Amino acid sequence: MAYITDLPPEILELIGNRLDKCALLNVLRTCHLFHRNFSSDLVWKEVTAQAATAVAAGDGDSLIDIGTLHTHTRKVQALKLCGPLPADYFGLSFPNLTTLQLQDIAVNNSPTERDREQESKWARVIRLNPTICDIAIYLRHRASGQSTEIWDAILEFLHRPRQLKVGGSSSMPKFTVQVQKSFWRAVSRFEELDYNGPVDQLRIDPHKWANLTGLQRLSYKSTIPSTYLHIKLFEYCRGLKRLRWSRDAGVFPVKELLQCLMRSDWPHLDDLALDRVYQSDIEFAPVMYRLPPLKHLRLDAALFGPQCFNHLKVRQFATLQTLDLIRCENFTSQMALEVLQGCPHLEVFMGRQIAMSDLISMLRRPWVCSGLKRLGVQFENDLGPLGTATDANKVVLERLSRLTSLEEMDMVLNGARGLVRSNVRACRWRLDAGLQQLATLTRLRIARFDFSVTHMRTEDVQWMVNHWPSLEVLQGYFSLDLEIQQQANALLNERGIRRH
Amino acid sequence: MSAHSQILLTSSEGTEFIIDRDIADKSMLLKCMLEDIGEIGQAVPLPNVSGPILTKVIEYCTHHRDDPNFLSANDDVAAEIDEWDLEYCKVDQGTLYELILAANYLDIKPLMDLTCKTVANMIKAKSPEEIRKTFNITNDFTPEEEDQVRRENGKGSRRLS
Repeated sequence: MAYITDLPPEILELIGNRLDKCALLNVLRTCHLFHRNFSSDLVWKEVTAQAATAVAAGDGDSLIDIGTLHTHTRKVQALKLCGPLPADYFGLSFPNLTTLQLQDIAVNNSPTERDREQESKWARVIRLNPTICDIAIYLRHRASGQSTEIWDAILEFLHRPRQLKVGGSSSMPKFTVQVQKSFWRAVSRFEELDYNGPVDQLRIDPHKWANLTGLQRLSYKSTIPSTYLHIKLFEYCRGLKRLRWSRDAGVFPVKELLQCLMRSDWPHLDDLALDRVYQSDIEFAPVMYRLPPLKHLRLDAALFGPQCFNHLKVRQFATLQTLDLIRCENFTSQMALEVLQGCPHLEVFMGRQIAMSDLISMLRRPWVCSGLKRLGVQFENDLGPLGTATDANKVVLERLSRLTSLEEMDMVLNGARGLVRSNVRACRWRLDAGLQQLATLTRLRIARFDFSVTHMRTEDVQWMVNHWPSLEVLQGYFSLDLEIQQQANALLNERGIRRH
Repeated sequence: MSAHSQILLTSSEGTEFIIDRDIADKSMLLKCMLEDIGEIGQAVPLPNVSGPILTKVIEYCTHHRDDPNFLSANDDVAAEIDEWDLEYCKVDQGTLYELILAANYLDIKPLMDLTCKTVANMIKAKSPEEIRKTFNITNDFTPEEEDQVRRENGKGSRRLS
């Protein structure tokens, strides 16, 4: 009879590699043998050191011990330093570190000596660890970010910078002009910038200080309406493959964007996300006409209409892999069906609603998107009460049954800025309305149904659990009947399927 | 070399097993051995594997005989175990560990993955005390040592999990 303790260390390590961190920590605490032999590399792969002031009250856990951290520096690949930690924590060198996250905590006093010290500490840990590729800096303190030290350290010391994330709270500081110059120079060394802050760090024209042509992916989110400067920034980033731009305010600068597109400023662009376009269909259509062939497009354009759709169809259908128009309130049911019938490479489609009557009338053309992995639309029964619409319901489910790559199904209409249309009759997910056709969806992991009650019965939920082997999440109100709801919940519990 | 040729194996007790060549080839050890020395017609001795365990291993290899992804079986740690495999691993702990050792010796990576994953699943979502109970382990830490182990992993490491 063999015991687990008979297994050689290399096998224990293999088992350890299959555990999450929490389980591994518990194993290490069981006995000496396990403590020695279970791979503890995983435990040290990601380390967080959080200052006591940043720890929620009543949390008995202590700050990671600096001496222990010192003995494991080789194993650490990701490090998070949070709050005003003692200087020792910023003085370690981790030979395999690739990811660093620095975070200060919100304090509402004026700048003090300690804040300036904090920035020097941050710069120090960067200088000591030139292997860092990805770095995230969260400024929550209005006094921080006033020194060029961090950015200068990035510019001069990192060997292969890849991704820079900068974010902050509402008290995030406005960089001084000097800091901005250093910031943009540091940015020029990265492939990717993800900027998400309430303050715009764009008061200077960055191209005078930095060559940004190496930047491939840019996410820029700022609440300050200096959109003209944003476009100026994007213009200089000629290497962009991905651009995600969102603003909380300001007029969308269609004219300037159009000029960039006409000059073909981004020859490699294939991934675009634009937020809060309030222009009319006709005003925005020229932009749609000028877009290069994209693989990924996410658009939040309230007045997206037939003109824009026509350009989308002619210019983008052949290349699109991801299309998210969930926030385009005028994106119609027929347009959604045309997407499914016309985009052969589509993997993710987030639309709005598809009416059963449209689906029936456009039935002749097949759906070509057989590789679709994620579908988000609501199927609406606009043909009358269930009794009269059962055949149509079966047709809907038959169409869905052919999407055999489907992993995620969002049958919820919640894109309209949180509004749910409660007066709409949804498609029925019931065996007596053709549900059994969906036995082909063996890869389905997540299914979400509308918030309006779907009138399922226990046997319908039972069927889903039995026939969708990959199912992890099943969300929605199954029935108004409390007993059915409880039975369904028990079924899901039993199989370890989550409700959210 | 005929695709249907057969191989003779002997377990640690000397029991003989005749299996098809393609089943034997699931084991990298046997595959390399047979490629190197050819089929000599003699029994291949497996002194580290008992008869009942060898039977179990052959059962696994036979079930996955036509599995096109057998060797490229992914390392996806989170991947679900399929129903047959799940049923296959419902054995007592002793057998499970012997299966691991046999899979390791015979170099059958997918079986290794499956059995290690099964042990990992027995550990998951348990407290140190529950783990000791499950595996019949005695706590040989002094209270000071226990405290030390707890401390050296700090706070964040658990929060991150």
